[in-house]
Amino acid sequence: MGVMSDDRFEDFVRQSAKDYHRPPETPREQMWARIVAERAERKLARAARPSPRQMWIRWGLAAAAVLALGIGIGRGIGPKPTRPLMEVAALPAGNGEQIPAAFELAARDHLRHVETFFTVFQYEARAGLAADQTAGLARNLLMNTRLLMDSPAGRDAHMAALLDDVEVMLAQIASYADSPTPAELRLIDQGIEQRGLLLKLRAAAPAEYGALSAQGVL
Amino acid sequence: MDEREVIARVRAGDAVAERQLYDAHVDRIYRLAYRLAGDDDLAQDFTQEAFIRAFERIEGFRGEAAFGTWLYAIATSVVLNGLRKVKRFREREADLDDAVTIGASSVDADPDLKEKLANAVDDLPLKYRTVFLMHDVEGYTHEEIGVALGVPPGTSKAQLSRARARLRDALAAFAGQWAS
Repeated sequence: MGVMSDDRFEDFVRQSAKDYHRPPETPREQMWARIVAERAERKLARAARPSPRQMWIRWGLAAAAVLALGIGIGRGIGPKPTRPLMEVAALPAGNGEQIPAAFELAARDHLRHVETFFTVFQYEARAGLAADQTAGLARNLLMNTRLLMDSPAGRDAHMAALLDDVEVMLAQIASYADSPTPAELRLIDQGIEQRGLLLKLRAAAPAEYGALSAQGVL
Repeated sequence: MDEREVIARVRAGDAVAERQLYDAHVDRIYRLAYRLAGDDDLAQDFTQEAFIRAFERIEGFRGEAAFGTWLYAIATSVVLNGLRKVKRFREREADLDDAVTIGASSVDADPDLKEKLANAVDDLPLKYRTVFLMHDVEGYTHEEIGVALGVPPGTSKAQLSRARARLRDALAAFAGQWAS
């Protein structure tokens, strides 16, 4: 066997790989027709869904019920709030571009969970401890992230951008079980760093806010 | 017409402008989807979904990168997520019918070099395969790949290097054909 040349090998692979899954001519018209049809179908499906106002009322009622239950329990057994509950309720109301308070509470609460998850994940990844079970947790958080993206919380540009970033990283962690290698872990870790996700999450859902909302609700 | 103008018209709901954007980018998206999926139906599904998402999200396109780069990032995400789902589905099917499916793929009597290369590319981890096909076969730059995969260009280079190393190992028996 002769001495391999890097350049020759790369040329050889580049040439030979052109036949790997060689694409046929692009079926432009066929795909365009399907894109138009699919978009029309999705538009109809969206129109058939409850309006944002109806959704707001449903979410609002659900949130109010949870808050009322929480307040009841909190008054009975919990610590006294250090700040009045009114401050929490005075978050931007659900008009115009602002996020309805119930969604903002839900979004910030979720982002705090995500931040904790990423922090633990990074620690475990760097210590070589990240386990396959991590993927299950990531999938749950991913599901909630996508729900929030489709909720009024996702209409706020900053929140939407943050949720987008969170979605990408959670999706990568959720699929980590497909190829659980140290290299894969490193890539995910780098992705979190590169996007500055932990800083953004801490800015979006400060710990003080979390403590306050937890005290107010429970 | 400048692409920014076309994008502005798409945002305003102009269907002709949508078609213009589609025509400008569909070949590259479809080719990449086909290279990765190796199946026309899947490649068409992925391409369609990429364009549908792009049109839905075009309000969020901030123009920080070229539109094509942004679109390839969406397409790559659609293809990779789609392939993972397909892989899981096929694995479940293989569990039910493992004797036939797994046996057929692993027993390959005396493959010639191209078959061997194809098998070696198939065996690459999805991320290495993606970078290898994007760079060495479809001619994407490391910067474009980096944006598409959400990794720094250096990571793309490193993955390409690892992909080539694996291919070299897999093809060691054929070294005479490119060795000096």
